[in-house]
Amino acid sequence: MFGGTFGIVSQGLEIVRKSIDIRNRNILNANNPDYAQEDPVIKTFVPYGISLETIERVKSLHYVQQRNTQLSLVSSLDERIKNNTRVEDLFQEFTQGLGGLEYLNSFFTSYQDLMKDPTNEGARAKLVQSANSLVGYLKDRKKNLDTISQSIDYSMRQYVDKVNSITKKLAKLNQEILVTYAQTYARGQDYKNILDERDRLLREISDYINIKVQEDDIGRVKVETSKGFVLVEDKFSWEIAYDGANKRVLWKSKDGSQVDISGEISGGRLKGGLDTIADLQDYQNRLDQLAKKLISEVKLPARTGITEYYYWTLNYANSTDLLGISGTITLNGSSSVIITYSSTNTLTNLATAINSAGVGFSAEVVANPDGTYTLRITSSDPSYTITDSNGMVGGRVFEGVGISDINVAGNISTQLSNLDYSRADEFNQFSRLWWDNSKNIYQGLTNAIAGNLNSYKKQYDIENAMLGSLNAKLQEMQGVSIDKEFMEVFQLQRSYQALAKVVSAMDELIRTTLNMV
Amino acid sequence: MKVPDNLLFSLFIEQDARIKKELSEKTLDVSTGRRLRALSDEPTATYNVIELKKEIAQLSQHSQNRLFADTNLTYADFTLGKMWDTLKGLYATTHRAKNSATITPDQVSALAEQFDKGLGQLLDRANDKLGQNYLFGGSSLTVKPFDPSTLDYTASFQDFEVWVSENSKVSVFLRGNRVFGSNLYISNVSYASPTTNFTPPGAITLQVGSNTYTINYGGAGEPQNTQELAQYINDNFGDELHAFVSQNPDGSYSLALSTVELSASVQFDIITGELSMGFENPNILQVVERVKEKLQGGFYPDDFDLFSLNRAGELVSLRRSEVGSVLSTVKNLQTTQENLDVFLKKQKSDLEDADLSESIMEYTRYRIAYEALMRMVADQKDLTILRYL
Repeated sequence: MFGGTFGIVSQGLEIVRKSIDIRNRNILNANNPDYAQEDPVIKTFVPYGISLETIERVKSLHYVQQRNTQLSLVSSLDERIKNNTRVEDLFQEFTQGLGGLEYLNSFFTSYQDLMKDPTNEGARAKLVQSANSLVGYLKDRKKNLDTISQSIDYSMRQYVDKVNSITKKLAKLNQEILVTYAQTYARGQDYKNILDERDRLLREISDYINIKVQEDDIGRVKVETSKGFVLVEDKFSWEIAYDGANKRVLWKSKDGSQVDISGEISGGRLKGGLDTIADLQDYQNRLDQLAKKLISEVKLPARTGITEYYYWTLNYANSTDLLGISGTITLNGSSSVIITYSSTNTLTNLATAINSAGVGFSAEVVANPDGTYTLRITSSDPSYTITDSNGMVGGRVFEGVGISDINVAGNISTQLSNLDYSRADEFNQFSRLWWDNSKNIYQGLTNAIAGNLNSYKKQYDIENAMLGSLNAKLQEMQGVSIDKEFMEVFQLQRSYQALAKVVSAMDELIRTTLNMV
Repeated sequence: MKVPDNLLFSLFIEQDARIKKELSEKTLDVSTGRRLRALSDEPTATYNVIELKKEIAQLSQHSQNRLFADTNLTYADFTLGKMWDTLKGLYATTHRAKNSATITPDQVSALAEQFDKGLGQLLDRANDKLGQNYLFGGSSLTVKPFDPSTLDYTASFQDFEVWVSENSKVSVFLRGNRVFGSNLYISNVSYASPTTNFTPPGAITLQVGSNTYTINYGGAGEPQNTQELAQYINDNFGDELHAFVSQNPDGSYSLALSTVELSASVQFDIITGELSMGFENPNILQVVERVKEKLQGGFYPDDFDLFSLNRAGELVSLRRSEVGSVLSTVKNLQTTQENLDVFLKKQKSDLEDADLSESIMEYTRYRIAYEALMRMVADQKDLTILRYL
């Protein structure tokens, strides 16, 4: 009889010791966010004793998935904010003298200064200098945006490597879970550590790409992108790659083919990177628009000295649009001709009239870089003069086709030394429109940067608070309260002491019984 | 509900980051004096600041243009004043000479010398430059307005204008043909005597303002010579026209006309008969030169010479008053532009700059909040039940 009792007591002591170990492990991991609290489930079988039925891992994959999805969204926003902040840093509009608008304003005030005092050599030099500064500024910003774009490519490759490395680890863990599960049954070991590691990796991969996870009965996971491209299944993993040239993320099939999944990624830093690339493209397009506008619109009043090219001052949306003004063009070439035009004529009519005059001028309707149309006039001899009663003839201040090759016109000095002073006030008036147009495009660019970043930050604050709340919920569920654990340990300790006392009581009972014999 | 230790820590970290961010924002507000430092701080304000920066730059340019106009017009006013002085001096001298009972040939010669010098001064003034630009050359700017030998106007026939505000521009380099143009007309046909008869007869159709007149001459019952024609015009059209018989520097006589109204002009539509060669319209410099040449030729000044010198002075005075009127508008614009500049800069400052007292208050508030958070966390950790075991 005593032998049976000793057996029960020693079994109890062993279970209590194991339970205390589990509590200790909980306490040690109190600060580990991926650790799921464990509860030993002890059952009593009167009169046979107690048993450790299971070790309950307090965890809900549903909450973990919800948290991970939210984490993907927050990480995507964080990545977008990080990169857009770098763009924002390039546009210091609130620091006096450093903003892009300062360059635009400086150029147009120089232009108006010159139109006010066109014979002033200082004003001429200042115009060339401010035009060069403006071109330099636009090109520098383009270069900066390119650099940011390249650094995003670098980050994207790193993120892709991380994802591939994590998916490999997860596939390996799936295999380990299967093996350890079998061993658990055979040797009574638990494989909780592996599950914790699995959860950590799932959280980590969610930082880079949003995933869908399915867990089987023993804890192995199948991981897919949100639109069903498998990343991990059983002991196999699938890789993704980044195509920097085309700015896309590719999923590599086992048959060697690659599928563009850029549009399918809806969260994580990869999504943030792809979104920022789209943002950057928009910013670069706006810079390009500004360069094109400057090339197409800004002209100086010129009447002679230019071999290539004179341009009609106004631009039209379509080549067949009516001129909208009436006046005369005087061509003083091999002989003198006055061409009269009316508001209902078109650029083509003018070109025909100039070409038919046959006095050493040729003209054609050409498309401007900004997509509008104008008249381009060539003089066969630089000494020939061309004047328009409305000041509609001028030379371009900038040349090129866009941001990639914009420059101050090579013949700017010739233009400046042959300025048509009589049209200065008309060109001054035109410049106010050009200034407004350029300012509006630049304002559009800064608005886009400001609006985007501001809305991302606001979205981030909201989504991050949601993530915090989900994390808190998860921690409430799976986290460790040291107070609670101490209470449990205290109870277990008392149980242990009680059990130990049973041994000494029994010992005493035996001794007494023996003395009685 | 259990409160895991990690949750407490996470909450602390979250709150700590939030308050630290606010604290750092306010520290920057106070140290830089600026509320907006980056584009995304407040997109609406960013839009407005960019708009204001452009408006301020444009206003500054208009102010510079206004100053440029002010300088040029002030100088034009000064120059015209000096020319008026010269013309008045010549008129007074001529008037005195004409009124004196006797005038010797030497006195005429001395008078001619005075006219020569006066003309030189007037020409210098009319061809004066400000910087690289001729003051009275209009929009051609670098073309000398008056040819020194012929005194013909050779520069642009339009003013050079600059924009001094969003909607208005002013002429800063005036076209000399208008400033020094006259409403004096001298017939190209001349006669040995004022009483030489017209052959053949004819008619002059001319406009003064909106009125058209036809003056017949040389026919029966009509004026027969320049003297009679001048008298006829004065008698019948005296409200609109002055007519004279004036001796030319070569000793011949021509019919000279002018408008009664200072600012009016005569437009000759059709002229038939002996006067069909038309009328010369000398500019003010040429008027002076004509008198000078007459004096050099030993001829005495006549009524038309006196009238034309007086009219030249009055015309210069009229142009000067026009310049003065524009100048006054330009000067008045200064206050408006300065006020607008202050207003725009204040608007920009309101958007960009931090309200220091408010920022310091908020800074203090966040500091207290931060300290409270630290205290709360410490107290929370102290609340362990284990203390009571």
